[in-house]
Amino acid sequence: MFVIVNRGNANQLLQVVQHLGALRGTIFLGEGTVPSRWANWLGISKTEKEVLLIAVPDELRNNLYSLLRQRFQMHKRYKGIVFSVPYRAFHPETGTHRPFNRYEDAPYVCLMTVVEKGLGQECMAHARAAGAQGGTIIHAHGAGVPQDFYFPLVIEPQKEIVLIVTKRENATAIRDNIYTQMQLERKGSGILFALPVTQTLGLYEEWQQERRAT
Amino acid sequence: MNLLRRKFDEVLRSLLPVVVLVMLLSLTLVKADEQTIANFLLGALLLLVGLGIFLLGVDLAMIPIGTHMATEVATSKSIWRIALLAFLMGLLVTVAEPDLQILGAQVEAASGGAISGRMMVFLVSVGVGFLITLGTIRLLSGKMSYAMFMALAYAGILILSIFVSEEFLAISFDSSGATTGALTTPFILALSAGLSKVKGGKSTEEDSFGMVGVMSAGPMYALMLMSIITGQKKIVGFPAATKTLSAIELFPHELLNAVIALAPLCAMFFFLNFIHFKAPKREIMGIIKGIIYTIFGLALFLTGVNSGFMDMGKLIGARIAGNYLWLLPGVGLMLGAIVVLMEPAVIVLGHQIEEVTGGRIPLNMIRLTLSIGVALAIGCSMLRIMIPSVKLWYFLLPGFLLGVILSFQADPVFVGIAYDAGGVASGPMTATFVLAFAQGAAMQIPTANVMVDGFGVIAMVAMAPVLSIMILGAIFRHKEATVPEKTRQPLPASAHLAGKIQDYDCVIAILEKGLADEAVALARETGARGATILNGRGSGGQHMHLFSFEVQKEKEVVFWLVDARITDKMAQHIHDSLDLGSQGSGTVFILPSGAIGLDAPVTIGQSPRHMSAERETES
Repeated sequence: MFVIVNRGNANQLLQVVQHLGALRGTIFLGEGTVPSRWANWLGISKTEKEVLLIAVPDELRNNLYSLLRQRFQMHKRYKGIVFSVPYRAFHPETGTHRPFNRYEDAPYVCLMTVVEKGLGQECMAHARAAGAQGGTIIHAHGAGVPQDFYFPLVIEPQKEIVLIVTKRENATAIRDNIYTQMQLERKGSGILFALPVTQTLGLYEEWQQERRAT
Repeated sequence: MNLLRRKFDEVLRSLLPVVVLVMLLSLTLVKADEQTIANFLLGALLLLVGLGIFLLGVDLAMIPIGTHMATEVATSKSIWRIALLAFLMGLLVTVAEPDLQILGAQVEAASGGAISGRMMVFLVSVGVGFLITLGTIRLLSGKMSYAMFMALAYAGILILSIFVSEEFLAISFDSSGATTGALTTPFILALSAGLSKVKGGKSTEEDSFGMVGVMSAGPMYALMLMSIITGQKKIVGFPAATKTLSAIELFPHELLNAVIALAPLCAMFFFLNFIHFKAPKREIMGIIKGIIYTIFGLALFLTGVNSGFMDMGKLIGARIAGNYLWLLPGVGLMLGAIVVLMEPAVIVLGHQIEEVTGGRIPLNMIRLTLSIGVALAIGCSMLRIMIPSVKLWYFLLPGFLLGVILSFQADPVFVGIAYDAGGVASGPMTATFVLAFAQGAAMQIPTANVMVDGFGVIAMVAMAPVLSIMILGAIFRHKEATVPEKTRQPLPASAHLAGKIQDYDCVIAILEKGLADEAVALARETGARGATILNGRGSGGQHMHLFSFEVQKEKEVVFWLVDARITDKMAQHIHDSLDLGSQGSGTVFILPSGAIGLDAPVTIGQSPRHMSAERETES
């Protein structure tokens, strides 16, 4: 499960969540994107986020979602988003050669694009043009490639991962737009893949729906 | 919450205690006049706005420039090019520093023209350039530990200091403080981080810090050597140019200073950009905006500090020393503890610590340690002003000695942070507000020497954080469990599959820090190709607690996108070879990809920059 919150909130969230059971979490720093022309022009369109990756067993999932909703009000706007991607943990006894459900009917899709550092915002702009609502950029680096300059360096190409959660209907259009606009067909310009999302909380689309319902 | 608001929040949180304390003092013990209080409050407002904008500018401009320059230096093909670029950078960031210009003029006047101010500025810049070059080469070659490098640097200073007079020693320390100004320090911090990122490997984190510490040794060498060679020893009676201007008069002056200080570096960056690395237009636009923010923000900040804080500091120092002498060390202690957190470079350093360690080292822990260190430094300085028989070097020598000894015991990341902290702590807030406070106090005490004691404060502030953070680092290392060495098992046969790839799996491995490179190599053996690595922090297993701060384990998260047919094999191989079965050592997750089909091909390859670098190597 992925949880994206404002910078500084992840520790507390993880601590509370851990009371539910022995859950492990990993936190990394990311940045959000805001579609405001003004902010963009002034160069302040960045928001600082934390991304929390928690391994949640199926039996705990519903508990966790209700906790996040009640305690952290994650269904409200500007609180952050939560979404689940089906996974299996590798285990030497059970892990091998089991058929894997690919969830090709999941309601939401998480698109992950890995691009060169600095291109994340551009990628997000193209995604937005094709109907995406928001995205999170995570700083990462590629695996080191030994290079021979004067000093033998292991250069780690700096990358950005753009994480977009969107409805299945929009996913194909967004993917195609990113793919063509970012020229991902060129070798080395980046990769793009999609993960099925089975449950979400706090997405803009969801918030709209809820508001319409009430 | 956007970035600008966050910056203001941050500044406000460090500014409020200062304002509250000063107001409390000025209304009770000090009884300041209304004009001073009004100026102080206006200064605080300017400071809040200025620092917020400045920090934003640093993020937008100084850090990208530093990163670009670092890449440019590190990917040079010859040692001469590396040395030349590093030297030029050190020279250019120092030569235009306004604080150094002022100091140069003061020294020229004080020595009766025997030392030319311009000559001094030039020598100090050469000194910085030289040390930055050495520091860069050390970092890239990785042959010597940073602790050793700094120990040698300080040993050299110690030897030279035997031959120079006490006044010159004081100026040397002060020039070191003047060199690590608010404008250049963020750039040097970014340079250090950029170099270590390009270098890669396991020491990335510890190499990300320490260049400011290296840089601050440069002026000391230059000035001491100058004193020895020219035989200039006596410096008498500094002209104390402390005419306070109003904010409106001051602002254009500070603005011009900031422009001049930044100009040589920007010129070099745009020149290199034009002839060589050619960053995308979008990025350049961001950098230009950032430079403008940086200059305006800094000018506002300095205007606020100089117009409002100086007088207030002097007044508090004088009144406390005159009426409640026994309170002086206590007030110094309190001021030191909160003022240091307002230093622009301290805030920038804090951000870098957060980014580089992925939030593993709690920022507040570093801040607290820094506060304690500087508080004690200023408290002790006040004692020294009150008791003339206590000499400056009684504190400096044992302090630096203990710091250097501890640097071999401390966690390597902390060593760099500690030496950097010494440079960043003695920034504009110390040089104006705290110095004015000390001078105000010294004026009331007949036995104190206004100039020498003033310098002493800066030297103390530069020393204290080195010691306090080094102690923290030693405790940290003592508490932290070490990662056991893992033995690798060879993979029997490599697996390359023919035919069209049907499905992709996204494999995520969450590993102890330092294992990512090995995991990537293992995955390559099973047929996987590229990988993306993130630095994060994790819970799971035991937490380590240090003074009620929770310190989380640092993790590396590796993402692969692999052919679904080799997923299991790859996971198995990583799991077995890295021995992930044991408690808290790591996990491999597999996520199904291809949620929307794979009608468009997916390219996994190297980055364009690499491709071009490879081509260059071949040709």
